[in-house]
Amino acid sequence: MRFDNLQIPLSRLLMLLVLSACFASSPCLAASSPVFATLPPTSGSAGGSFFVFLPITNTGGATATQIQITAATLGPVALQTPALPLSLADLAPGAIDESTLTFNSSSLISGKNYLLTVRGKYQAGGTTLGFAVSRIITFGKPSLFQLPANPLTVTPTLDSSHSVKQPISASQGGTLSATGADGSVFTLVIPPKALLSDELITLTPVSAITALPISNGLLAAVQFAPEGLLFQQPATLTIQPAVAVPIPQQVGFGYHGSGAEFHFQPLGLTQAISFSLLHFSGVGVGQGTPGADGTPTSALDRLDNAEAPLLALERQTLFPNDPPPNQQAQAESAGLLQQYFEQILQPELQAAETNDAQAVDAVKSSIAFDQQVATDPGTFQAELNFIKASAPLVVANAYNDALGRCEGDTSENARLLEAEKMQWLFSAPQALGAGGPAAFPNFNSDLSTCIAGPLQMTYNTMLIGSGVTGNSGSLTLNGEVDATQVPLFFSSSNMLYQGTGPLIYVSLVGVVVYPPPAVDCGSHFIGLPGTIDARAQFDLNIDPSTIVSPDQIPITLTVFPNIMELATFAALGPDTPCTSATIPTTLYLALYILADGFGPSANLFAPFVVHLGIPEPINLHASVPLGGGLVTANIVGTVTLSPQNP
Amino acid sequence: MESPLRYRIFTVAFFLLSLFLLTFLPAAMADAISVQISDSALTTTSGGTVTFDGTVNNASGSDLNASNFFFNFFGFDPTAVNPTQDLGVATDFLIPNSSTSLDVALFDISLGPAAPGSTFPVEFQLEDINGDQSGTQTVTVSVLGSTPIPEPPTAVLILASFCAIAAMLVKFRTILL
Repeated sequence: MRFDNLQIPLSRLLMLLVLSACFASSPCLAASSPVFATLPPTSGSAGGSFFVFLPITNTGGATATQIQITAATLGPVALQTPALPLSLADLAPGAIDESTLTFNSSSLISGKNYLLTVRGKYQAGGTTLGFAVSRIITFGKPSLFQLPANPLTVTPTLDSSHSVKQPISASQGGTLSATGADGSVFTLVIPPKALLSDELITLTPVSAITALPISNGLLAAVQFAPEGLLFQQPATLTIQPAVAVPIPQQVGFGYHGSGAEFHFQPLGLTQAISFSLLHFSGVGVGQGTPGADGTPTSALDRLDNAEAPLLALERQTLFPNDPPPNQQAQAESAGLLQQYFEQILQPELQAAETNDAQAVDAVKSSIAFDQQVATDPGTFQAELNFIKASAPLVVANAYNDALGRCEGDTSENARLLEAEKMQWLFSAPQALGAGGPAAFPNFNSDLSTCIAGPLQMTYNTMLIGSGVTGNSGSLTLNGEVDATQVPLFFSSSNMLYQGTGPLIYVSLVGVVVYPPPAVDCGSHFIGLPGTIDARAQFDLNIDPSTIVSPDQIPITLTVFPNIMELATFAALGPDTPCTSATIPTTLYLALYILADGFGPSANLFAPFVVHLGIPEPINLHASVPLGGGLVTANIVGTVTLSPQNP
Repeated sequence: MESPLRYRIFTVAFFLLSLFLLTFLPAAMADAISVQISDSALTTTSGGTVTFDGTVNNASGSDLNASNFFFNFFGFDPTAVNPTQDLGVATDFLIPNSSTSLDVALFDISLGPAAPGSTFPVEFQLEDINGDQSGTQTVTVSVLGSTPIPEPPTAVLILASFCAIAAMLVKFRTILL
């Protein structure tokens, strides 16, 4: 038989051969129908329940629709929640949907393995089919949030010479930027209403960190102040390091105070190095790979720690090629959030509904959770609904407890402590749809009742100023101004203390040196009586759980000194007799404004953060070249706020 | 129209390519984990349960326990079939890397009420804690009462394929000569 005669049958036979082999192997099968599988689940105990957060995925080649979970068992234990059947989203190839399954844990034995089986049905190609996925889960293994704390401490070195301090308006927000000695640029963008009250914010670049657990060390870091500040919505820090480093080599981190509670911190899913910040302390980026990091005390820090590598994976797949997001990392991250909700947040909220001591933590945690799930609210709708229902109860209970204590307190100090808490409970939970005027329509009168007496301010500063002209002339001033017990009265309508009092010169000495050949012949200065206006408000941005005594209540104080001098200038020339002229001047005010750096943005006078009964140092310094000469201004002293009747 | 010689060369090249794919592709696509079912077609009564035995091969790169493997089932009739994993549930044991387990009970399939003579295919896949997945396979459970018509098993299909290749080789030698 000639082969040419078999041309067509042979090729068809070969194709059949290849196709038959293909269909006998798994890839071809997988490509034609849905294949159900699971991703690593997250599990943990909370109360008397054991929850499993199970991501289910379709690794096949066709979409499964109308998916329902019809049964779920954990060993011998039947499902507690959710109610079945539970509908899932349609699963296209590669898609993932998550379910939180809760079982009664009373009959489960710690350390024992249990078979989790989730059964259900779906539609594919017009047919209803069944699926059953399995996982073997160990009950009672401590979760990330149940491990004992073992925090790591690092030691940052601050570069104060490059720090930037700027007041930020709560209503308008603002942007601060600082540049480190090596040229690294730190930019903090605070959105409007992220702060509850105006705040003086400081960015200080960090020049070095010892014991940093990142293989190739520090790239750039910055320390924020005031420590413990909370944002109601995230502020964004962008770091532009002096040295460019590829994305996989960038490792974000954070710490508290002067280096305590080190933890890895997720970098934003942007090409630039960015962080989403809900509280203050140190933040930075290292270069290389993360090392051993300890176990932070705070659950939120642990969550950041665990999420950082997952978000790093997501970020690496997003840039620079912009492929589809890393769904497995997303699912694992969602599992962590679920674990956080079940083991930390939900118990916190439930306890705080009747125990006001836990209210602040519960609100803080809820705001953080709210922000974390903002990009995927659908997955956490039940949890968000729980927060929405619980938060108003938590806030109302804590507010009413604080008001009750306030009304019963005879000490103004104690009342101020409660008033501070009431203001925070009124303001902060609005991010969760709780608090605010709707929840507390009598807030102003409540607060007026609580804050019975005024504060009084004592202000004392030394003025040391000099101006040197380019032709050897100079003016030097030394003086002391003082305001004592200026009463500041509280207005609940704008939650401000305000008052005005006398400001006087205790002493004032001036020395004038005229350019040769003229000489001074009796110039002198007399301080005139003036006034000082002051405005103070509770700093509501500081974590209220850290405030346990009146002297820890932070108050933002802005002073407006308004004082003049009578200056007599007398000069004697080689050919002229002593000639004098007396004029009113505002030398103290001018030097104050100069020393204060002309006040950033719209504020002429930068505020101070003071604590009740504690003298707050004032140290304002500036040297400015002027007309070929140099003007130097130093305002040094203290300001104190105290209750009039502590 | 192509010349007979040119067409012959094309046909031979296509044949060689197919042979190459059939020989080397399966090896290149070897799964990190795999499962071999001892008997993929079992029979029981209506409402009965059958146990599928077999071995698990671990080529994942790390030692795994039996409880680190999970069976996922799909493509079955949800009104009649209830599959349940056995592997690693009652007893746990180590399956070192690059080894195959003993023949053990892998999973059960329970049937609900079913007509005599009916057959229920169930697709399954094995995965491990590292996310490795085996290829999908199918087992069938038949209900006693009449002789079921078995589906040609995969091995038969492959055997038939290789018989065809062998036949072609004979022809191929003739062509080259």
